[in-house]
Amino acid sequence: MPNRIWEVLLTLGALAGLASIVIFIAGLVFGITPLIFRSGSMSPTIDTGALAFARTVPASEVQVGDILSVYDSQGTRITHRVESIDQQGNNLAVAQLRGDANPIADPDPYVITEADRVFFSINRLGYVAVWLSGSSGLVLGAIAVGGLLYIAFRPRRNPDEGEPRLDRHDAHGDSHALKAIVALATVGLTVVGASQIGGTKAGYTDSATAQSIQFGTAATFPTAPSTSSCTVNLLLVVPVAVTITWPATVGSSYRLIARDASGNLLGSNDYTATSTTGSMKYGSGGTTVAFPLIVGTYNIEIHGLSGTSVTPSYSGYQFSILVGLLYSCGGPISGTSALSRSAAPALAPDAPNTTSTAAVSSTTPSPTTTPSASTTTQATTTTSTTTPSTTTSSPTTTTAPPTTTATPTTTTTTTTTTVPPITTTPSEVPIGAPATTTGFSAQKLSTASGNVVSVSNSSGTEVYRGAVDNDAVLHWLTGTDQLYVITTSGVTVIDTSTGVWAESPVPSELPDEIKALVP
Amino acid sequence: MPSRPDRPAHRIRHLLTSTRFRALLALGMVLGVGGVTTLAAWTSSATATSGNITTGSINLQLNSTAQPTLTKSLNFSELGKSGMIPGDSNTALIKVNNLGTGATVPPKYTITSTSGGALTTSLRMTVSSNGTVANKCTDGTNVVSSLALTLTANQAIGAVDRPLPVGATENLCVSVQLPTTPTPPTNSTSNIVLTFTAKV
Repeated sequence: MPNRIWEVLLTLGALAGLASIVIFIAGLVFGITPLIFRSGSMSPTIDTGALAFARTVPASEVQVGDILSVYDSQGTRITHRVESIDQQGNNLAVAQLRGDANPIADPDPYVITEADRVFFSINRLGYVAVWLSGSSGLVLGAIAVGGLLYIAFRPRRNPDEGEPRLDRHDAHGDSHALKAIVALATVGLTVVGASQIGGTKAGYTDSATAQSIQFGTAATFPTAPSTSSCTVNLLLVVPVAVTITWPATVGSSYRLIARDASGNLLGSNDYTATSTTGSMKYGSGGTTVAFPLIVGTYNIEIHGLSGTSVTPSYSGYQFSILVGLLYSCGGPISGTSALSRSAAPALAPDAPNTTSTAAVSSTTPSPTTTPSASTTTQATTTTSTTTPSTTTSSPTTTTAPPTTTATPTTTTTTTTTTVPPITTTPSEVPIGAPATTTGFSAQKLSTASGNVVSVSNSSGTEVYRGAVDNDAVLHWLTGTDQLYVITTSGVTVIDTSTGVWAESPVPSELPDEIKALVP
Repeated sequence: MPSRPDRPAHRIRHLLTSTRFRALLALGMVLGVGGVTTLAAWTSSATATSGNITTGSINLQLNSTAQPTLTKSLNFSELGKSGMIPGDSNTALIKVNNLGTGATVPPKYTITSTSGGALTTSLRMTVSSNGTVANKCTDGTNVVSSLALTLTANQAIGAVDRPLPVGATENLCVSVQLPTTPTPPTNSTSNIVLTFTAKV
């Protein structure tokens, strides 16, 4: 009779074991976490001592009303119901949780990318689990393991011979084995059993989040051309312009930035390629970039452009202007132009004094030796690829003005630095007080050609100039180098986000600071 | 000698085999229960883990240039940037304000970042105290420099426990760069939430 009970128990145990194994493996496979509730903040839904099962889900699947198990800033697991959730995109969410029994929501929001969502709970079963995970449970488990292992692997003899003796022997062995197992388990438990789960100490904390920070890359990245070339355009016999060409990708856009030899910005032109060769003409019949010096060397940087994004890297070409009329090609240039504001670019067609050390050519050509041929032969130009050491040679034409004007430039240019930059434009009258931010100042000016806004850097060099309405309010967005020009008809932003000082797209939602100023 | 089975040998062998098998299966019960109890996490529900303490309170609030109103949940979208190309960056300032009262022990706070999206690992974050936008936070007192962002929740941004006395405000400059190498993915996005946690 005891044997029969034993058999039934063993069978039940085997079935329960099978189920346990299946559940355990399924839990591992599907990311199911058992949870034991040690407080009643979720009652009556889930009481203290309940055993719950939670499955890990991505934050994007979490909805209001779900019961989530997350970690707070102290590393404590909190299992509460979602009161509100702010999906940030990209599987990132900020959740506000509240226990069903709690009158108020948890003080801190939880930033989650994934969380354990409770899908099943059994009240009171947690106590059993706790008991089983305690010392007594471990003893029981150890005895069960030992006993079952013994049953499974106990030595057996041929049952046909001497069975009574065998039984007696077995019983003897059984009791010995059990005693040994219990003793071993007790010793082991005194070592292992000390590891109890301690209560967490909730410190005094407070947290705040900065959210909705979104970054995205462009659908295509603009690329700057790797090479470019330069040809001289002749009008009759006079080289009145140069054309810069570069291998282009049809449909791609490029921004050509013109700088003087000091790196000061003179202007920029955008170009969208319709063929595999991009080209831009400077000089007579070309773009409207104004080259202030009668004699000077200029760099054309060809940047990639996509939307409002401009590549920092560029390739380009250098060319020179002699006596304000004669254009010649220099050499290729390339590099990475800093998008920084410290380059002190000058966009001031009417302020030729701002460029100073432009033509610092150590090997100034001596044009006096060239007025020979009656025909117009284009003089060869040798140009180093680095900006400061340009050797500008001049084209020789019969129509060339006295060449003496060329040579003095090296001396005159060094003296122009003493000229105050802005005061030389008496026709301009400031309107109102300038708006300033760190390093920059914006001033409305009344000029002969209408009202303009002029942005200057800390050294007084003008870096931007553009037309504005008379009633425009100038406002630097606090802490930034973004100048908001606010008028009754709209808002424009002037900054260097495109690589140069220029008008930028206005953000879809104006900062509150600006909204307050919009009439 | 009770209950000695008087059965054919093959029956006994079969039964014995079955016993062994069932005993091993029953071990699974121990595995299952043990596994569940081992995996079982203890959940808590302390409601007041923040706010008032006997000597005062701690209260961390944020604001920024675009959102001057103090809040615990700041919309810091001004740091974000779309249509980025390699080499781009964006910088914004955020103010961390300790509006607590009377705490005898100056609270400290810790910055963490939780991010999602494929672009995240291409981004680098530079944070400095009192840095400027113009210098992309390379000035001021450095907190973290060109830190590669990860998809790990609550990634540490700089050292923990930045001191922030009651009534004080720290001006943080946050800059996120998209380096040219390795080439970042096109048409890819990343969302970031910065968490500022104060404790006494």
